[in-house]
Amino acid sequence: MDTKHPASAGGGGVSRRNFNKLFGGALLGSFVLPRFITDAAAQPASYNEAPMLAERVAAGTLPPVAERLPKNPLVINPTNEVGTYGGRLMGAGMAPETTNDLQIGQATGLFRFSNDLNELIPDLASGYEFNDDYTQCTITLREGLKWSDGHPFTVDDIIFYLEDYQYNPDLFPATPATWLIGGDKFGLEKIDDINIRFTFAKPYPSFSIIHFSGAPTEPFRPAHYLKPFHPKYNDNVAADATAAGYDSWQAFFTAKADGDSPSPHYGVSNPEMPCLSPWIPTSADSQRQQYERNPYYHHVDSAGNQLPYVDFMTVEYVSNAEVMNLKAVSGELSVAGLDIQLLNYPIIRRSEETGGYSTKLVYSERGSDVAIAFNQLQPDPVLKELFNDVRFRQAMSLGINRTEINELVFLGQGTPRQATVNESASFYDPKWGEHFAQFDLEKANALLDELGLTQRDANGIRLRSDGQPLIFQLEYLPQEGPKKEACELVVKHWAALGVQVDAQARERAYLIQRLDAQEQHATAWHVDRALERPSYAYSLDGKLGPGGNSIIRYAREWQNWFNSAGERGVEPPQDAKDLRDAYIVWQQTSMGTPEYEAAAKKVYDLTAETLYVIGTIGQSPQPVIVRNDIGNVFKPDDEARMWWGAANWFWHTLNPDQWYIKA
Amino acid sequence: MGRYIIQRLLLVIPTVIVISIISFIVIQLPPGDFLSSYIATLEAGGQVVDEAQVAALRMQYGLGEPVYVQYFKWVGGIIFQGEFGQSFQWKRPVSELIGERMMLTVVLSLASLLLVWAISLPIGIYSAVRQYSPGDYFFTLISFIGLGVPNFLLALVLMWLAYTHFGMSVGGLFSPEYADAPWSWDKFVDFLGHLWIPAIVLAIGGIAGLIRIMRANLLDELPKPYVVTARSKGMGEGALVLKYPVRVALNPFVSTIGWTLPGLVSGSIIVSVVLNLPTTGPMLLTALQSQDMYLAGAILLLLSILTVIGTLVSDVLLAWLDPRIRFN
Repeated sequence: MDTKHPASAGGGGVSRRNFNKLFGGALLGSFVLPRFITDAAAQPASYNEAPMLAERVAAGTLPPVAERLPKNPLVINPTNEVGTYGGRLMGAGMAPETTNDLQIGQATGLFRFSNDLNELIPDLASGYEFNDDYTQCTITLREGLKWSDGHPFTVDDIIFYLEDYQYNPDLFPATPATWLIGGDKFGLEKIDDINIRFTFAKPYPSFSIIHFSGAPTEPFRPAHYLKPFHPKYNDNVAADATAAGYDSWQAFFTAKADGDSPSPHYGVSNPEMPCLSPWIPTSADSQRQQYERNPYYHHVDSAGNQLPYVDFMTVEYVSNAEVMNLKAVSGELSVAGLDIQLLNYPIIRRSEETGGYSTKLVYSERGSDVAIAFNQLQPDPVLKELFNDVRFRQAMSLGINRTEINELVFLGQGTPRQATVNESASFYDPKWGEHFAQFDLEKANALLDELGLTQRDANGIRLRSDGQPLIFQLEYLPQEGPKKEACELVVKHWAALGVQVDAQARERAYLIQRLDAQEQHATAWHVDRALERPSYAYSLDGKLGPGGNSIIRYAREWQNWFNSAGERGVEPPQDAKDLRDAYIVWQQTSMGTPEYEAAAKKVYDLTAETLYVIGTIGQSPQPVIVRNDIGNVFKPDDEARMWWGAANWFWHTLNPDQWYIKA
Repeated sequence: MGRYIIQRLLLVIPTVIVISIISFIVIQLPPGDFLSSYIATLEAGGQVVDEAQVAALRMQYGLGEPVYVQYFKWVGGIIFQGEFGQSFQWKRPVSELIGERMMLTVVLSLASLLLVWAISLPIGIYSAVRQYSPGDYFFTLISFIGLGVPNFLLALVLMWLAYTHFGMSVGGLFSPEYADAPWSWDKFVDFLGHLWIPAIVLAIGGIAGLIRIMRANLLDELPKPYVVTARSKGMGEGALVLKYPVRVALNPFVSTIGWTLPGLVSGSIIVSVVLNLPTTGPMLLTALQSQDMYLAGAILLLLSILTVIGTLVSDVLLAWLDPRIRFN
């Protein structure tokens, strides 16, 4: 079992599949250049820097580039060609508390990932190593990394973040689950400035820090900057907080550390805090965010030019999606993807020439873009019995005409499939996607008849066992995708089965209230984090995990039962327990091993068998726009399918630091 | 007159207090608070947020306390420190945020108000003086169309026309190249170029109403004996109409100043959102949607103070303009 993943061996950090691809390419005579070089031997001989930085070096305000870079910077092979320095990226974002297309590219974590998240590349770290039984993991940082103010970045910054921040009961009365294993904190040991050893209470091959979903895990903050705001290092912090206008030192510290977002790249960043990103936030007012290049950024291109190529970045706030789309088609934005609506695809394609951009269709990583779950703990006993029966769920799944939904709502570009893991998973079995995903009215009606719903009323609606007509609600939030259009088609299809369902759009806070009280009948949402890596590391608590999550949380009391070891909640049925056990077994295996594959298959076999979540269309298309003057974003004529989603932070996987503005 | 003014001024204070209480409560009415909508946004983006973490954040933001405690803290901050609190969304003091946008909001509202008056007064007078003429019918038709078309629809259409035919950059009051540049003649011209769309859209709804009012009032005045007297004394028709009947007919114009201004400021919220203007309108909308209560509360408070003061100003103006009110 391969437990070591160092960066020094040639091609280290490349997954087995891609390694074979490289070799295969070489044998065919067309050698595919690896994307990232982590091999110290392949480092460029000398480094260049941007003219605006060279000026500062000449003026003596900045050390020369060789001193600013770490000993072995991450070498990135540009997507198409080596770029030129200069220019400004223009972007737009919606509400201030979420992220936007350009801000996504800012995230800089210990590891980077490929677009499908299968490949892991050391970024700030140079490698990681587990011990034999996965109870310890040692992460090694690159030597000589520096924060954007020149101060060294060391293991101390990681320890500060975990020990003084995340594990501090004054700041977090209950530690966030990402930093716990089996309910226990990680043991932290500083070996030296660049080596840190984590110790786990039980074997933890799916260690959260080396996996990724959403923002790359950035378990560090600049200790030298934040210590004055922390009571452990500054006795006066309470007075300082009040003087600055905060209610408590916790609010003060959190504001300084960008801590109330999951990442400093959500919403407004604190411009004074040093960072490791390609661009430093210089200001943020209510109109826009401004960024300037980071002189200490640790990436270089294959010719030794320090990245990023682009000098400045501006993100403007827009008040609604229509304006965002209009700005995109008028060519005002360098790249656009978030909030670009599929329905606008015709206009987007038509305006390509006038706007001076090109469009690419990428595909959502979602297991299902519109998925439906029935409340397994519905207060009405007759409905509960019906929803609990898998044959009912199977019938309802067969009754959905997915082809029609695909054509009408997703321009025929989505994939009709059951709600399951994304097809790019290494262990994927197509039967999961096809499971009860056909449109078979005969079989569906037969299943419903089998359940005893043979009587019908005057309108043709089936009668329940208590004589009442079978009527219930399908509630959804009309956000983040065409939920409304899809749900209205689904209820129309279900009417042909003799089941009357009312599709109801709800306001978010109200629906969440109903979900918390478990009063809903059926809800619709999407199933995301369906790529292999986030499924492995995080999906036990995700939308396909037992009990569901977010708007399709269909059995909250089961989750309470699981989390309290039986003290609270309602005991789940055996197949939900089996599903949970299957996830736990899977998370104990290590990625890439035969045990891993077997465990994963078991999880998704059970997911298909239990069919708690019904999927309609998954992997739907998403247009993204790239202006013609931005280079190195996509390879020309690259027909391979790219994945888009909150789970992989799409733009981040395209390395915005090596984008450049063509003259 | 003086006593009248002082009396009205004293009434402003309890009015504003009651309004602040009501707006604070209304903002809190939707279930949940800023954190619940924020967490929902995070979860939608793929984050899993712990319940205990939520509790800690709630404590930090002071959202766990009862409503009246939050209210008194907020009002206390306003009265004693001039602090309107912190915005959760923007993580900055509310006063800074509003201050950034206030000037443009006021400029836009004033521009629309002036446009409404400038257009509706002459047309109203013409309509009354040339009643039932083709011109009268034409203006009536146009003004009702303007009244009937929703102003956000008009905004969208004008914005699209401006983009396709004039090549103007969409959204915002400045083109990208002038956005951060210091004020110059070119920037001012660019600003005017962008300002006409929102000003027209906002003005159009008000124009129809005022034209009809002006027309109706003037038609009431024109047959009156004093007009006949003036005419018989030899006054020119134009000067006659403008000096006497119009002055009387202006009464309702002045009395509506009070709520025209805040009407423009708040009615412009939708138009500002559609046109993506950097005014307080879009800021208020997102604040209400995410229950960013101090920001929303402060903007609502300011709007209501504007209304109250505006009404006061219009009452005083009216008293000055119309002697009948003074002596009543």
